[in-house]
Amino acid sequence: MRRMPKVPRRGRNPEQGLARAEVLRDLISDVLIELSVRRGRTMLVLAAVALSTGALIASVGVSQTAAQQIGADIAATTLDEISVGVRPGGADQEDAPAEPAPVPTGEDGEPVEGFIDGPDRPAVGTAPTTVFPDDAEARAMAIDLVDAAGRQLTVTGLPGVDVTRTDDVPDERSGLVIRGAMPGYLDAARLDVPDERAWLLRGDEPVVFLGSAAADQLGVPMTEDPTGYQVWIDGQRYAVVGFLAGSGAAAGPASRGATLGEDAVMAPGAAIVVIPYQRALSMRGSDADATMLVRTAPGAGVAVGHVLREAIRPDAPERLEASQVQSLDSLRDGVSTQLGRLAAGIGAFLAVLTALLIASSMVASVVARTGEIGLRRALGASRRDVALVFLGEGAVVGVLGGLAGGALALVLVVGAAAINGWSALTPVWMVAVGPALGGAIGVVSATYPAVRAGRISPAIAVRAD
Amino acid sequence: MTALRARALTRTYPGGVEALRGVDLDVEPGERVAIVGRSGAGKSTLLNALGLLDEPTSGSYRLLGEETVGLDERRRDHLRRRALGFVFQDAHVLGQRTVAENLTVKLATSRVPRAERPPRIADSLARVGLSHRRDAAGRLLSGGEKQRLAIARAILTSPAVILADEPTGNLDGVNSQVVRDLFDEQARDGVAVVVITHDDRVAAWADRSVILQDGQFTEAMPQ
Repeated sequence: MRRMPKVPRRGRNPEQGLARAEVLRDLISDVLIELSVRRGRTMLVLAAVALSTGALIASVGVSQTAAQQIGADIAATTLDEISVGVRPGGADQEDAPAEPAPVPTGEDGEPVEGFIDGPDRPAVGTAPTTVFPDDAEARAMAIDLVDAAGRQLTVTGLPGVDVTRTDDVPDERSGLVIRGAMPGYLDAARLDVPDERAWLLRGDEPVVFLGSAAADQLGVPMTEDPTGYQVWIDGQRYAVVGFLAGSGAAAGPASRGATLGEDAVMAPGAAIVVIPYQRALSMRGSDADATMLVRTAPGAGVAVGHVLREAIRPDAPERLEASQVQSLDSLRDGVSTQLGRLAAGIGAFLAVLTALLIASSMVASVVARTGEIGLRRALGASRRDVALVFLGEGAVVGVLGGLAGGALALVLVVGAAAINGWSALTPVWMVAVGPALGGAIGVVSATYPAVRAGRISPAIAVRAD
Repeated sequence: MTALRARALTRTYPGGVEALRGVDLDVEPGERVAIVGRSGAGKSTLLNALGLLDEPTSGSYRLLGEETVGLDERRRDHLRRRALGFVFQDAHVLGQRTVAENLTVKLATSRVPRAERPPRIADSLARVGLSHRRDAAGRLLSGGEKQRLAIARAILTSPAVILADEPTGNLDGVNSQVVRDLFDEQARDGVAVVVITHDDRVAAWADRSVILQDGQFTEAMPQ
């Protein structure tokens, strides 16, 4: 008679002899066989996972590609204007006072005819402190693709600074903006002045150019030759030397305009009085609120914007900020984030839907395989062993489906980009995240069916058909 | 040591149905015991209890000397894995898997190292005369072959007790004899064989037959 087999007593692990790796290998092998013998169902579930993960990844990928394209389109079509300002706090650092502006003279060395000189010439006060160097415009213009550049400094609202038609009669005016500007500013703002007189803004002569609304309010007729007409600013006489014309397409630095609470509109018809930049600088005593408007070749704004500060202040670029570039970057990030969230939301909804479908399919599979579950339990499989088979099936189908989904997403992103003429954005994560996402969907989907399978009574299961 | 010993075993299902009402049973190693009875007599309930597939409501059941009533589920799973072999009426062959793969399920469940599996499978198939069908799909086997495969699976891990539920119920006379012969061989090796059957030939073949009626043993059939 054969000896009775020894059954280890409680407290010992009877399966210590079998390595975990071997148990895992058995489980994977078992799962793969189960999946292969139910090929049709496996392929359907795998396709569902592939489609959902592919849709999720592709929607995020397409949104990123679209956001990138939107940013590029904005840059290419609209960004040819940059505003450089003094970073908040940037003017507090010590700088050398600006040199007094040279007296403008004609070719013969005499003061230009028709302008105030001698004892009547208004004083411009003490030398102000500046962040922008005197040759800021020349430095900006040295950059390739920069068409025009010029500083502006608004003095409206300073105590005692007002503009009147005469020195003794207060006029009825509203909303007049007094702005000092360099000649290049008018070019950058796409404004013209008669007879190319913009150069008169280069010095500190008491001259003004008027927008049509300002001329109207001040009672200055808009004639071709305004010689003899004067306005009073801050108690000093300024000669009217011309009127603003041109498209005025540049609205000025929107972000800084908003910061200063100013009317950012710089247009021929605006109620604006333009004086030499140096005079405005003298009135304010600092260029902390000055900005430089830079006009570039179409689409070059981003590239120029990234080097502009270094070109103007190579010694301290951090004291300046190119606000329009920041605005664009922020806009692009915002578009990308919002599109990404929208796409991820739709994708997540699809993933949840797929998880529910897979769970439903697996519950049906558990019911269909009740006899097999009973057999496994009779052979000694624990609840956990049975549950692991179903969890493993979910994980394997999920990982394989996710892999296919990642590949599908790549095709979709590249296809969408090709159809729309975009540059496809296909980061590595797009492929790597597929199996992980699919595996997660598969495991989550299989959890309930697996638990349910583990809970089936073996006594009932062995008698199931 | 007695292979299995049941004392005053009861099983009452929810609703108050008493499927087993104080069953006493001893089976010695190498003994062949047939349990007969009409449908609804409690035969399957008794087999579930003896096979640790179901928990008795009360009583005592010792398997290889170890009390199993009140045992935690992990230990019951382990005892079932190591001490018991099952043969069901419909064989429970996994039809999509090959004969060898069907046996591998049992070996993997019992945590038998991979290196030991091929010789065990070969030996087991040789014992039941299915070596030539090693790579055939389970669904392609005949009824007799399926039952022989079920027996091969039951003896793979050298159990102490084989529990068979109508093992010859779907077989013709020849195949029924083959199954009995295989059980004989196991009994000669010291395996206790408990068979639930309607088949008079099986009941006559057993060393001892007991009649189950209304959840109780009424008498032993003459052999």
